[in-house]
Amino acid sequence: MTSLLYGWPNVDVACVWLPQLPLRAEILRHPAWDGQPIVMGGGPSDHKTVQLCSPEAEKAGIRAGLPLREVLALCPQAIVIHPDPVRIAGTLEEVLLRLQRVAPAVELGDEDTAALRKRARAQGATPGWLRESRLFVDLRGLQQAYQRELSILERAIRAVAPPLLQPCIGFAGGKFAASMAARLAPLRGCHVVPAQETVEFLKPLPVQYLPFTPDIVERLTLLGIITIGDLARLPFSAVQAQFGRPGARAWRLAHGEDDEPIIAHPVTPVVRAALRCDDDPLGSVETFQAALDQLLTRAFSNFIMRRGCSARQLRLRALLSDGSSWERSFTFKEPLSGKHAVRQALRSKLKAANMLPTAPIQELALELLGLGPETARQLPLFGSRIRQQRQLAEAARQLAARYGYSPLYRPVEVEPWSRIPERRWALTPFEP
Amino acid sequence: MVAHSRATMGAYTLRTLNAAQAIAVETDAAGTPLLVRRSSGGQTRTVVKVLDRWRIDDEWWRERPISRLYHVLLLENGTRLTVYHDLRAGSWHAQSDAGSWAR
Repeated sequence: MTSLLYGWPNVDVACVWLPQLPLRAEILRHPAWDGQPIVMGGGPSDHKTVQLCSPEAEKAGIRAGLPLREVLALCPQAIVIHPDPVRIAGTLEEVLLRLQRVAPAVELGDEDTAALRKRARAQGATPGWLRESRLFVDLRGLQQAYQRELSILERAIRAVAPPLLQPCIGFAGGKFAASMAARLAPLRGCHVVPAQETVEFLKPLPVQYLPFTPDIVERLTLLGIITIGDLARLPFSAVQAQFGRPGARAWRLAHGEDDEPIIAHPVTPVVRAALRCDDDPLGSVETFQAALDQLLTRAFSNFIMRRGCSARQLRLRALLSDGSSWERSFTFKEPLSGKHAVRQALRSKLKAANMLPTAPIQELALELLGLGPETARQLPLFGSRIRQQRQLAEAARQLAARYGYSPLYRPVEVEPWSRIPERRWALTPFEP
Repeated sequence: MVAHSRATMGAYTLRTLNAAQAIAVETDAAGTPLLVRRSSGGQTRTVVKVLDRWRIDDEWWRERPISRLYHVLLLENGTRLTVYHDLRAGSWHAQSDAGSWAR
């Protein structure tokens, strides 16, 4: 086990852990809060209890599950904030996108330990934003790209996350060991566990870190099996007989046998455009629409869209003046290539109820997703006339419903041979 | 013989296409248009040249026979205008695309 990087040790996986990401994402927005007691909890659909708190708040006696009304009594200078899932997801996604430029195979993995499951059992369902996500990087095949120096790759990985997020990096032979290495790494530091040292590294760690349910951990504790090394000393057959498939997997992990592959997160190009209006937040539908038009213009002037790409999805994210965030995603029925087509589709979707933000907008971001080649409508070789007639009939019915009569007429030949011009053609009401 | 069903015939209301519009025309002694005014409040235009002329006499067997003298006029602003003189009523009318068949 070493934190010093010389050459390229026998490691295949890197894990980037962003501890307390929900809190650090807020600190990223307010750097002055770094080092302050911060308490997060009381989301719109959550219990009014502390969900997460900074180490400074923990020193004051605040812990997860404490009612929020008791926070200020324990720590008057505590900063109490509500969770912002949109900002958390956006921060994590930004790190993921940057990491995908460092290495091609990056997996976004949820932390799934007995400690989290126990907490979920005690407090109800764990909110999605509270699940600390980890990023796994497949290192195989990267030696040449980084001159067989792991330190160069480590610096490249570190550069993808802002220092205020306090990323911890672990290198190991498998995902589980890399995850544990990241957990034991100092803040903004790294920990390297070569594959041949995995068993020794895991031996003193508590069994709670293994992917067990809280029930199994309790049984292990009652049986006197406290560390991963204790579990590793048991026969495989006995562990498997007692704990089934999870037990077998944990036993293999304890012996450094971790063949769980890294499932690369797909690299999806995204075109973004954003604007800030701190001084004069967007508070009306008209200004919101104008801002959307401006963002669409900027998004479609991106070089990717100028090549004629089409977008299948559109996501709007906004930070509101009341401190909350807002997000809406729209999927179009068909890929749209032009700004006007997207604007038209977006406007019709925003007309639906509860589609607009509930407070003035300070920051608005537009993302075009699901980018693909330019689309064109291929008319069928047969039957296009029938389809056109159906569309025309539908349009006539809508007009008749709106005006009380159909203002559509069909020209018909009456006396095409006539020398009198007005006798040759006439208009009859269009009857679908 | 089949009895009349008394049902309506469901006839469509036909609207005339390319109906003639009344127009005010001043002519010289020979009946050649000199000035035209499209409507009561419209601007009066001077006729620069008569580009074409033809006559239609039709339906002479009916109660209201048709007798028209068509003119294709070039106006001072460069536009072409087709008008006809109803020789029976003595009125003038403008009618677009009137000569495509006749000529």
